Amino acid sequence: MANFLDFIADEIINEDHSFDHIKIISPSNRASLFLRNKLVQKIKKPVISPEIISISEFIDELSELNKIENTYVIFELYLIYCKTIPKNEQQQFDEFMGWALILINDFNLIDSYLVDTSALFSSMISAQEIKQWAQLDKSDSSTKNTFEFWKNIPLLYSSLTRSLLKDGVGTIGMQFRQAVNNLELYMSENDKIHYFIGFNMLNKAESTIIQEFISHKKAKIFWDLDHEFYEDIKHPAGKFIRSYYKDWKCLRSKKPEGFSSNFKKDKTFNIIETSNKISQAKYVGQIINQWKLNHNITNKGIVLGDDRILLPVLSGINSEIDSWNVTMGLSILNSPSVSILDMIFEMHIKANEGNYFYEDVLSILNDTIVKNQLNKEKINLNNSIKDLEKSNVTFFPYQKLYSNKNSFQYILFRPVNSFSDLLKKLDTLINFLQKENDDAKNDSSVLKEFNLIKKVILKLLKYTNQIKNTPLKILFSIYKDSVKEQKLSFYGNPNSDLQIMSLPETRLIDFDSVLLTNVNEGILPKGKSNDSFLPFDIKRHFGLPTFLEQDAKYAYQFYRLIQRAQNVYLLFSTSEKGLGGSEKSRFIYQLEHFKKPNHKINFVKVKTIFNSNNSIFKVNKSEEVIEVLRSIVKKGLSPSALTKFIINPLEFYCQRVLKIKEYKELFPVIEPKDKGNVVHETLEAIYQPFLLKKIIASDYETMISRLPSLLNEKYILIYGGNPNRKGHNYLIYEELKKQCNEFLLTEKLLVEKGNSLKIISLEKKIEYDFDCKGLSFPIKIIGTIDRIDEWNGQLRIVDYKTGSVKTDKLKFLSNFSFERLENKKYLDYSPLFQLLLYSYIYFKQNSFQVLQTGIIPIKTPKDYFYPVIISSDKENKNKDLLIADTFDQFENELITVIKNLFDENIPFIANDSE
Amino acid sequence: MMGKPSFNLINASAGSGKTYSLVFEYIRELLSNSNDDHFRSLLALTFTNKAVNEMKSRVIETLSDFVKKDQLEMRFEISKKINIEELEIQKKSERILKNILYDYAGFDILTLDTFTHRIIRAFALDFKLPKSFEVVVEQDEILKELIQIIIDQVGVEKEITKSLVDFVYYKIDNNDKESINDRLLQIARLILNENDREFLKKLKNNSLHDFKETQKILNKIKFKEALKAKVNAREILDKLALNGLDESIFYRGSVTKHFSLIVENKFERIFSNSLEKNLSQGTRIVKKTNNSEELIMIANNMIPEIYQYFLKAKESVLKFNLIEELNKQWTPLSLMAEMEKTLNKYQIEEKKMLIGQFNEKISEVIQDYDAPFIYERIGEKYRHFFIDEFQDTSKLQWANLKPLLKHALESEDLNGKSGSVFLVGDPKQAIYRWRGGNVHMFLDLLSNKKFDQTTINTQSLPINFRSLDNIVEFNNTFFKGALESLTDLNYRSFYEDSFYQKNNNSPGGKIEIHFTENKMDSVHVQKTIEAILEAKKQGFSWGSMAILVRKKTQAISIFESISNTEIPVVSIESLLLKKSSSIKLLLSVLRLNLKPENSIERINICRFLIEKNNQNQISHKIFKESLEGSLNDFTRFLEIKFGYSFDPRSIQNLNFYELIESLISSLGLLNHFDTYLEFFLDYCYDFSNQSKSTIYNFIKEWERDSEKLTIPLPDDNQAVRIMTIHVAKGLEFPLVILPFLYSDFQPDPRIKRQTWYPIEFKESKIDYGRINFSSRLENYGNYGKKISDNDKIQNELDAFNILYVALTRASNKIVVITTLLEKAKNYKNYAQLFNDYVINQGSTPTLINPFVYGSKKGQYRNIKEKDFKNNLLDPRINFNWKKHFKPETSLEVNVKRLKGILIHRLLSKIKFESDISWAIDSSIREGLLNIKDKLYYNELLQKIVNHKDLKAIFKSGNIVYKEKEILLPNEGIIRPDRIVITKINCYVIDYKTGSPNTDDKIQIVSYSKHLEAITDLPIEPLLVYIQERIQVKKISNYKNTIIT
Repeated sequence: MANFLDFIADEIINEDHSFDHIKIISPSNRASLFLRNKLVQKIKKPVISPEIISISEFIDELSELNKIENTYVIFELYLIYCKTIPKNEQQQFDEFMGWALILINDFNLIDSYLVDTSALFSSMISAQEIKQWAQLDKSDSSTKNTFEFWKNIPLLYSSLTRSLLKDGVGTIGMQFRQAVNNLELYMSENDKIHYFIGFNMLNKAESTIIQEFISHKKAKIFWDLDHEFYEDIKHPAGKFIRSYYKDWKCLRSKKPEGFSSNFKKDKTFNIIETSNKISQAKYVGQIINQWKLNHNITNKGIVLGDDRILLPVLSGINSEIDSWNVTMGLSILNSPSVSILDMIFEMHIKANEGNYFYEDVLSILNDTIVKNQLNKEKINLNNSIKDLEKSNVTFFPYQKLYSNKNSFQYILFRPVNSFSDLLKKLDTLINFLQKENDDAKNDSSVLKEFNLIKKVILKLLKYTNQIKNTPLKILFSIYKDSVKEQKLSFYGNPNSDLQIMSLPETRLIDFDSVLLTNVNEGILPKGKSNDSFLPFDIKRHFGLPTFLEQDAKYAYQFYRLIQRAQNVYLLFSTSEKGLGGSEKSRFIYQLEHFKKPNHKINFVKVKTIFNSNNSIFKVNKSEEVIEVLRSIVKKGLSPSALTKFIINPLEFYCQRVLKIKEYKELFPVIEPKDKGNVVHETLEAIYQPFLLKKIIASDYETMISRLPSLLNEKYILIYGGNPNRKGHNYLIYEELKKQCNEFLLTEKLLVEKGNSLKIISLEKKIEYDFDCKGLSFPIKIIGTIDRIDEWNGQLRIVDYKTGSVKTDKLKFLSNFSFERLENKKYLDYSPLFQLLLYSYIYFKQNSFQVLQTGIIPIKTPKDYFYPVIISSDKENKNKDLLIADTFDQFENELITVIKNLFDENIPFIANDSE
Repeated sequence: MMGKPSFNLINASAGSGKTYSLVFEYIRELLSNSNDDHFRSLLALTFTNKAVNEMKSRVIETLSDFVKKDQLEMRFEISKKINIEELEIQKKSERILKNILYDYAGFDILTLDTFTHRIIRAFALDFKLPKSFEVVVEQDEILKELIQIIIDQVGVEKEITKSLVDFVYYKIDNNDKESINDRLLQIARLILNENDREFLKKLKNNSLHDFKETQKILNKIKFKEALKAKVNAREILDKLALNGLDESIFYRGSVTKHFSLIVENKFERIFSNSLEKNLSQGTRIVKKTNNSEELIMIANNMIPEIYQYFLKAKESVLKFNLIEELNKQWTPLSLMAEMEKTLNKYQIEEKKMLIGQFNEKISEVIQDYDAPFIYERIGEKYRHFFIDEFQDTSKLQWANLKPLLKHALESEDLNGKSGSVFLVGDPKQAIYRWRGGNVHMFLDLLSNKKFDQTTINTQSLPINFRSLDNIVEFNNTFFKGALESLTDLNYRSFYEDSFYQKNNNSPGGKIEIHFTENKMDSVHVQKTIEAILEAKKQGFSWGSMAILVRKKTQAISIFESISNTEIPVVSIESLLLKKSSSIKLLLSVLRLNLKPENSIERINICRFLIEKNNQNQISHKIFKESLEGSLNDFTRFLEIKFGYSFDPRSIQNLNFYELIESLISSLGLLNHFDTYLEFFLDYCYDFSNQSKSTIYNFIKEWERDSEKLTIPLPDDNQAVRIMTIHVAKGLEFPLVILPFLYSDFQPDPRIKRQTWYPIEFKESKIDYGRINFSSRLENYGNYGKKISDNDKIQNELDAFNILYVALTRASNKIVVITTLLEKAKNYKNYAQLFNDYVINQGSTPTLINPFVYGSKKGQYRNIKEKDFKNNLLDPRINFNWKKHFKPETSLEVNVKRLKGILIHRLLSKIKFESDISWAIDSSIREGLLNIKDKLYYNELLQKIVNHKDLKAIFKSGNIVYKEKEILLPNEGIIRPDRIVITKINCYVIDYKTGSPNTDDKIQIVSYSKHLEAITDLPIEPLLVYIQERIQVKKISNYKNTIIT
């Protein structure tokens, strides 16, 4: 079946006028290109092409205004805003940005629909005034905001228009208005025949222009529409064209030209449900891979409802298939080149008095482009970074990040004093990378990306000198908006039989097979959007388009695309995420319920396999492993190593057998482990002078007075961090201070009450050769006992704990066994295990009859001491005294653990339940 | 059928065809109006996206059936009701269907949140909100950030520093172990909870300073009261001593002990014994044995006085305790205003809005404007409202809807018809009180039978269509008995009126009640597994079974146990992305790339590959070797050992999403592509689309998000599902297993819950504080008693409704696992209900055999498969497509090329000499030309147009084609830079900015030859070389030049 452009090409060739006298206006550049190619196929001898231009080029020509991008209109508008609005009512630029873009859109709309602005503005204002009068008592009501807002709009509008016109530039809307103004002149100078082809939704300016041409018999108009959609008076795809034949005087008596009649013919629809964007994109590839691409037999169009899935679609196509052509560009927004600049932006946004936030610095230094550049220059920042990381400083002073001003690091980290300065810095960086960096130099896409970004930076620089004190954050968002528009284009054959394009680009182009993605409500069609301040009723009254017209526009695009196709694939996704979720498009419902007799519809659901993940990983104990284990126990095994083995054997294996050290990262907040160390060392230092003496109440005065300076000293020694503590670190420091203080006070009170205390030793290192029954070699156990003291004459083995202590997990009753515990519950019992092990060793090495052991809970200092209990009998006065039986019981436990460790039949098992 | 306003309230029990009746009413309303566009004035609201989609498609399918099918019960019923012929309905349905599908935007079946969102968007300007705000559904993350912001001010902001440091001190002084962050988070959550709204409003204007001041005052009162109590106690103790009474005269020394404790400042738990009761009754106070008659008499006589002292001291002690209790939450609460302020600022700055603030915001609109104005803004005018799951509507949501409903009911449309309201719900399934759901609106409407001026027509749906008869009957009997346990009489009578359901004449169904000795998890798990295996034997597929539990922790523990068996099972927990081993592998590779020295990641990578390759026997050897050498050595090692590896250099120039794709491909994961990877890629894709999408940032974000990222619960028949009863609401399963069904009605007292409490000391500037729920609560006075009682009743209702939801999910079979009670418990719990039920059935609960109701065998019919073809996703990954980019030349060439392009662009703007300044100015405006280069290019252009050989062709009067396409049949298009047609000649000009090249000539000769077909004039080809010097090269005799 003949497609639309063939039809148009024939019309033009058969036209009486020479090409020189024909001007063809199409909806898009791509359509113009395709039409030109059609003509090439049909002409007999070389000929000067008729003028084929897109409507926007035509409007450029008519209006004689240069189009100005929205980004720059924002700046212009803000400059005007500052000039026209009284200072005390002015908003900051960021607040201004909250509404400016939408307002500019509204201006564009008003202009391109040739609306009488004074009438519209005054009706907006009076509507608000009435509301306000009605609510005089609520002076702070939200109506007031709206009123204040609209009050200033007319002046902003007229000033903006005037200022732009003065420079010979205009917004799209202004161009339209101006084009209509210039129409008479243009027509008097120009006697070409104008072909308007393939239009659908026209704004007032466009329709005025076209009507004028037709009325003056200087134009022909051809529509790309199926009869079906025109005849069905409800069909949204034909909504506009029907209305033109009804409303336009110049068309009323005419028959529409260019209609086809293909929709009702044989068609197969495959309606494909996928669970998310990725399965959708990948399934597109899957379909393409299955197609046998026979050249020239059919042409196929892959149309992406959402441009952003282009990349996963392309990577999903088999490499053998390479005859495809992508007509849409690939956004550079997510490219590594953009990303590095973003990071520098963000670093400056978050910078604090010339100091950069550590995460920002680290992410820049970890960027691959940066990394490679540093490697190339043989610069090793690793050590200085490690120093910084170790210091736990969260804001790095910029001076520490470079050594001299000629270095690459200087380009990255030099401070800036203004937004323009930042832009200049970025420009320098790009220039440097393009010259020096191998990736940027040799990879054509990176090179191109950088060029595109440079263009944006140069344009922004024009304005940043004028708008001072603008928050970096806002300008960053403007920058991002501009970068978003930048695209990498593909090289390919426009006549290829597999075209990949976005929906708006498909205008006037027909395919035998069409695959369309993202057929979801909210995308196709877009549905209700909120990009306007003009209420629905006002829009209606002034003939402006509402979401209803927008929906009809999408309907046209959709149905036009499939009207001539024989095979149609429609993909949509069903993911539930977010407000409103995903709903399949109304178009699918329509096809389903208004099915033509020759239409065949297949429903497909795309699935992936569901694997459950429950295998358990084990490492067998080879002889070599056993050897390593032996050498470990020869050197000594700490209680924490033993508990690690019980809780997560694989982790024990990695740490001890493979000897993998934990990796130290920067912690912006002091960690529990360090917290514990600070307290331990502080208390050790505090008690040191009183070792082996009977402590009396007055000693505590000395201790408490030494506490603040000692604590501070140990804190800095162990953790470091920013010297001016704030946030969590401030609170934690205060917490530790108070806890230690309270602990000392509590102990003092107890001593005052007559209890006696003597510290025997502090942080005592112990070593013990354990003779494990059944093993032929000795097991050395090592460790450090926080404190050994005599409390009222009773020897105590004491551990300080800064974390939470579960007192119910400090019971070692006669029927208790560690072995029966599940691994993960074991964690709670590890303090008990440790206390018992130390006591056991102490018991064995020094012949004591009874021992007391327990925890000093620094977190709840008033509780002072939690002893380990061996009996649940409340009346038993000696329930916290450990005796020989207790140690026998424990010895058995210990033997089991160590035997398990050396048992070749018990592999190291991973315990992945976190 | 008249224009009277109508208000219908449908009380629809579980499985009673609620959706059917909603759809019925919706379509009836559509058909009964003469306007085929009537659907535009209908608004249907429900709670979940899923429900919305279901209802939308039901309405569409039903209308479509009305058009196409011959016999339809619903059409028949509607025809009878609205008195229109079925044939006419058929025609009208067709028109309506068309209107709905073509004008779909007006087909408003929405979630309440979407509707609210729409209004907020329309009023964004009034709220000073940026138009393009993002809605945040996962709110806790934001609240945590919020708290971080507050805490970051410690050490900077004086007041905040002081109050938080004081709080730290306070916590230590009071042995409080909870972290500050958790405390602040508890309070921050209140901002989003509707139930707390009215209290927060009262505190809104209290500054941090007010709180500080009041705390000082309260603490003064606290000490004063403590002193009072002590003085009191001392007084009476002295009096007793004076009368010769000591400990020995009183039962267990209770009286003296009590007052001594007060004297010693020990106020904790002193009222938890029965002393007060005994004193008031004068019994069990005085010990008769071993005491003299005289003393006994003195003591007895003193009882009233002791009682007076007791009460006086109690008053003081309770005040003391109350203030102590208030202190615990004081600081976090005092930061409330600060938090709210910070949140508002945060939302505006980040252009975000928490979904929890929707109803609050919208109530501002509703207060300020009338319904017509709101409708005008959103562009819709609703006259008929359908609200589903009405029992879960919150007070504020309802308050916000009310004016709109009123307006619809009061006003008339052009045909003189009033609007209508149709509410559907089941108060028995109200289990969302914790997030604001308020069943009382439903119950009030049900009993008042009046909404504003409109009489309410109530209705119930009596038949259960979901379950087999035995299940319906079991529930009827069970709940009839269980009702007795409801304290709230109103609610009990509501249940009495509505619990009974008629069956649907589908015989069969089975219920088993198993009893266990105690609450040991392992026994419940064991029984559950047995029940599953038995059901499998009876023909139930894995996917037809569901295990429902009350708490998330129970779901996790039962999942862990069952996943060790052969039974395929899924739960939310198992659906976490981070549990997938493929994803773990990818993350290890990313981490290793970031920190090549972090060798544990090498082990993790090897671990995965060892598993996949089954090389467990030599894993130690592999691990050891893997640790040697550089990162590059390691990747080579992987290649050799496993045949898969990754290239650390490949990361370059790939965006993050591509990087993940390339890793998936190179590590061989494509062969294991599953749902987890599918959704992980989706996550990576979204991450990649935001700024700063680097590995470093990804890992940061992943660590935060991965706790919550799950794949959707597979809906096919592959695995037994485990979920909480809350999640199961609205769902249906052939077999439901209910282990751990022994919970108490009241929540575990160990769980800390807080409540608002009024501060009635007149010196206080603060009206409300927060205190913990505890048994002491009811002692703090009438208000405390009220809160406590009310709380108990509410918990009871929650527990009861949850049980109702649980027992009404099954269509074929229920297995209940509960505990055996030897004797009745004095507090209410599920186990009691089941024990009682079995006994009432004339049976005895035993550990050995379950109680069985219904058919001996639970039969099972298969669910019918939908009309879908399932295709498996088989994704590919390759990067060949990158070759398709248009090449970009290197920088040096590039600078020249850019200049060349610019010169061409400038010249393309010049028709005649006079166009130069316009060409330059417009190029500056378009950003093509830098303003500082203006002079240079102006001069250059002047040089060109004034060149002696070119002067003539830039003169006005000629016909000029600039960059005009010339079409060549079947060959293509050429575009010479300039064609000038004078009276005698046709010039073809090409501009060259590079140095002369033989190709230049070939090109222009070919142009010229093609032009011969177009013009009869002699053709003059010119090559213009534009460098510092302009050089014009005329090609004479081009016709003899041969082009190869």
